[in-house]
This record gives sequence, structure tokens and C-alpha cells, in this order.
Amino acid sequence: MKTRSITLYVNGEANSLTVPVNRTLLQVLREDLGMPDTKYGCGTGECGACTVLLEGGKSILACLTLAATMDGAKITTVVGLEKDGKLDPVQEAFVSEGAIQCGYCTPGMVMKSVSILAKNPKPTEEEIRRELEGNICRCTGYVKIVQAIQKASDALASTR
Amino acid sequence: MSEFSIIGKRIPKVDAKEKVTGRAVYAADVMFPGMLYGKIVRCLKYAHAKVTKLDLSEAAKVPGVVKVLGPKDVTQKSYNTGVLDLMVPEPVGQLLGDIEDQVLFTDWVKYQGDAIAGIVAKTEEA
Repeated sequence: MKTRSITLYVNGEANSLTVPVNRTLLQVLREDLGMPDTKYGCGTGECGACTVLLEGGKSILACLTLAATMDGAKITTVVGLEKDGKLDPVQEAFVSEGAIQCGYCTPGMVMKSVSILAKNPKPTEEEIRRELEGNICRCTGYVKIVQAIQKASDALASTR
Repeated sequence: MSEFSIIGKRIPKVDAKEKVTGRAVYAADVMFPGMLYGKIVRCLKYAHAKVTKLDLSEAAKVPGVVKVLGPKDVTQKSYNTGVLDLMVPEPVGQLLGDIEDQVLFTDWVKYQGDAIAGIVAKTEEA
């Protein structure tokens, strides 16, 4: 298997490593970089648990991304959302609105929510639900998650 | 009547913050050096079958494979899936009779997906 040397900037930190070309970004994050905050749900791009962010709040699925194609990429995972011990408004809203049960979908949901609000700061409920179609939750029934995103949207609007 | 401290109040889940910051550790997140990975080989083709011959020699040759296990290798520890006998006092448990007669791998497949063998290796790929 061919390998490639890459540098990934994860949550602001540079990580240089050599990877087989068939290694996914998810495997690199969880196993090579020891960051299990990004979750492995299905490994086939259907559940959204592996959602991470690129620059500009663009969301990608780490399980379908080949690490070898990500040289130089600036990636944000859920542990990187906090700023100086302060939770991101989306994280705060997930906590306050009861949008977390088992929490396994939560990292992917939170990252996707951040990307939704980055592109559309005041989404309607329908827009939120449509954007979240790629993130599956077995526990909550999505109601509280949608409410949390709406709350975060209001919180962000009031700080502008 | 004095005000309640919990009833009627919005209390966040005790582990919500850990989960939302990705710090909560799940079983799949546990990793340590030298750990081994196990996979179970299951009979998916038939719902009722007898394994007449189990040849794991090719699997054992794959680099990284540490051990291959069949039904004969797991007879030391048997269990039952009922667990009912653990939930009631002993005499009742005896009466209910949940016999510990199951082992990890079987040569008598009784449902689609029944476990027939196990592979232990140093990497998941192996």
C-alpha cells in the first residue's frame, strides 16, 4: 500500500504523519492522533457521527475522507469548539435544551449544527430538519436538537 | 411550603457537558498500546445448520493474527443469556433452572448470525 506524508492542522495544532493512502481521516483522528471525540458510527457515511469541520465552517464526513487527500487541511473537531474554557453557543444550547441522551451522535450533531448556522444564521425549523438529515439520533427523536439549534441561533443573533 | 430545589426546575443532565465537549469516553473510544482486536465469525447463510468442519489454518497465517478460536477452545467458561437466576434468591434460581450451557462459539447454528469462530489479532485490518 502506498503511503503519503501529510500535515493536518487539527484544532489549531499541526500533526505531521505518514499514512497509507487508503486510511480515512476518521481512522487518523481516532487511532493515529488519539482523538476519539469524533465518533465512528457506521463508517459508510450514513449516520453523520463522524462530522468534522473544515475552514469556513464547512462540514465533511471523516469516514469517507481519505486522509492522504487532506494535506494542509485545517480541521475542527468537537473538542476544539471551546474557546478558553467557554462553550460554543451551540454546545451551551445542547446542554440547556436537553438535546443529549446517550451522547454518541452529539459530536457529529454539534459540528453539523455549527456548519448550518455558519451558512444560514437564522434557519427555519424546516431548514434545520432538512440540513440535519445526514445525522442520525437513536435516542432523542430530534425535537430537542432542533430546539437547541434554534436557541443557539437566537443566542448568536443577540451577540451580533 | 418551601420551594423545591429540583422538582419543577430545569436541571441539565449530569454528563451533558462532557458529552457535548467530546470528553465522554465510550467503550469504542478506549485505546491502549498493545491492545488486541477480536472479531466473531458468524453463520449468515443458514438459520439452522451444523458445522461439520472448521478449518482456521488460513486465517491463522495472516500476519498480525494472534489466535483463532473455535467451539472446542471455549469450553472452560459457560454462561446463560437468561440471567434470571441472578435476579432472584438462590432456591428460586434453582427452580427456574437457567442452565449455564452456552459457550461463545457453536458448531450447531440455531439462528442466522450465530457465532461459529473467533479471530484475535493485533490490528483490525488483520
